[in-house]
Amino acid sequence: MKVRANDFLQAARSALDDADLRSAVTFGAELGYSKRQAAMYAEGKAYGEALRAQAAVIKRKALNRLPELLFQAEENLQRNGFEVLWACDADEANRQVLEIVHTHGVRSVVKSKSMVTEEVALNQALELDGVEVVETDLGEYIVQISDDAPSHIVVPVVHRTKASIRKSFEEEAGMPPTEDVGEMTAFARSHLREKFLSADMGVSGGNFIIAETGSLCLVANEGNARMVTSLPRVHVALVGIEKVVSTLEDYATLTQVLPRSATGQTITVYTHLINGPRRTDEGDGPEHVYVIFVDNGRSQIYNSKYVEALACIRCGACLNACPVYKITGGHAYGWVYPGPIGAVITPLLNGLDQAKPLPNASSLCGLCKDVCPVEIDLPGMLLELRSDLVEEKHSPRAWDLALKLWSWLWRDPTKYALMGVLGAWGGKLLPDKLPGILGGWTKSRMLPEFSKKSFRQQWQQHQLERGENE
Amino acid sequence: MNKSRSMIFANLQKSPRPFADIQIPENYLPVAPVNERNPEVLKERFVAESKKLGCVVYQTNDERDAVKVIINLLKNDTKVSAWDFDQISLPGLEDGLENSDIEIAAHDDPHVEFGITGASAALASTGSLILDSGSGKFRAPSILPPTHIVVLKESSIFATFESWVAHQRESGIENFSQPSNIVLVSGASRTADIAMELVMGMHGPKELHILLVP
Repeated sequence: MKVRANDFLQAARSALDDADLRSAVTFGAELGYSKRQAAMYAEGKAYGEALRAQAAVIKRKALNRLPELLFQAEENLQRNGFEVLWACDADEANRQVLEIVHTHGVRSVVKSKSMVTEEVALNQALELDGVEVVETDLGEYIVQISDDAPSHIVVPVVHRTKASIRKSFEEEAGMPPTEDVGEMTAFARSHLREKFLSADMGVSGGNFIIAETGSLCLVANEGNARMVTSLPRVHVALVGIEKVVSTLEDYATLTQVLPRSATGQTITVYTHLINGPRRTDEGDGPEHVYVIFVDNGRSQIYNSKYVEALACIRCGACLNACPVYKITGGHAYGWVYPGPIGAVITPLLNGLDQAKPLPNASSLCGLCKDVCPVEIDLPGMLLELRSDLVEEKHSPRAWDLALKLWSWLWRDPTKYALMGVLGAWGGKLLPDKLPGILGGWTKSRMLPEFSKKSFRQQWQQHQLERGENE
Repeated sequence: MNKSRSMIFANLQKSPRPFADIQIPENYLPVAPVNERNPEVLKERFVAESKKLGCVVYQTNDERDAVKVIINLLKNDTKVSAWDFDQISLPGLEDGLENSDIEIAAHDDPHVEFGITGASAALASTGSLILDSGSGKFRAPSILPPTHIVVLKESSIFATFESWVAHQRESGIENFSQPSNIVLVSGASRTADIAMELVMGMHGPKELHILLVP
């Protein structure tokens, strides 16, 4: 997917002007946040915090042993009958899927929700090859028929109102007019059922890979992932290399913490453990199952000071908590992953020059870190990225000059004192009504009078007076 | 392809390992703790949790009772899809259906209204049913029909996800991947993708009926 993160400011501004978008996103995000609070702290705040710490340690240990775990996972996946492929980048991942398509004579593909496939733009690659691709997650299906893009990791159309979704269903999919959400989903159910029953291949992502058992794990609610991974004769899963965990016990913690963080559910409706293609004595299930491990910039992050970002389990809790995300929505971030985690990994996966505004698209309030189920220090990383922006000379020249001047003036006591005096004098020169954009401030209130003396002068006087009194 | 594999592994081994000082605790906290072993209490908790998820639960006294519940559920429907009967812990079910002139359709018949399966285990903490694939244990009857009926033996209820995992470990983790598919089913299919409104039966079953048998 094309990266448009450098347009953040314009995109955020037009999102702010869109009242429908803002109210839809704020409503969805705040609901998600409150449900997360209730589920995560169901056993009390201290217990919930202990669970976060446990999940955080599990993922970091897995990252510590990542090469071994990937090696073990590959061995056990293969033993279970999976075919395992490795893709360095997006193009290679797409080529591998196309090869599978050709090998098995695939004409039609049904997909369950997957952020990695968005990242590598798999749908476009398949369509270019003449393969029919149908998104089956309701939100992703709405995105697909309306030529939109998902704006949230978990709730793809959180930015859309009921009315705009209805319009897409009627105009793009021929749904008979209805206001009722139940009838809209029933329409999608019957339309997509046909697709499930006739598809040659299913494509999914992967939430976890368990190294010791060789299992591919998915969480889902709608039942589409069960169909995608069970009905077609071929199943392909694209999985980021950071998704591997060590043991079944590690998985048990993470797969329960994930839905609590994401949607406030104690567990998802369908929690899948896939152990390969159908066994000889089984009556259904796919004949071939592939896992494609996708790197696409992750091993770079692994070698950087930002390695902690790879602990992310894609729950979306940081999006729901973020005061910036809540009013700009996800599209403003200009790529696949929005919100605080997007502001961190979009520059890391695509290069800082591709996403210069994102490290600053945060108030650094720190709530994202507080809600993260694996305790990723997102505000810390955003600060670090800001510092990289300066180091790599991505900040505006005027800004750099101003800061240099500032640091020169503030560095020695004489110049510092002089600036204090000049500041106090300068205050007097300000007009009653400030010009330009500052004018908003003085439109309805008086500009306070500046002190005639600088703080240093006042302090010296104060000390002097104190000495006299004692 | 092998070139990419080597490249990825080489990249991952370039720098010193991150998080080298991380210590894993010896015992994990259960995410949804249930500090009970008493089977009656576990059963009650399972029933309460699965009802919270919108399931309909029937506690039956004996086999005949259970078969009667199923026949009543089917109303006037004359076709069901199902697991092989030797895989469902309800010995009188096959005869009961036959006596009521109910036909067993192909397991993947897309037009049946009811699917009947067993379950290998259940979790009290979350109201989840665990379905394994295997000989005669088809996936389709729990996926395609609008109503899924599950026969669950009371004795197969575990306290938590973690206690089920501990049982897998005791029975030999190398056997874990024998079935190609294991799924925890926690309530009926649902979505809240449109304006955060909850709708049941998005793609999978709209209704989940659980029969507890002794």
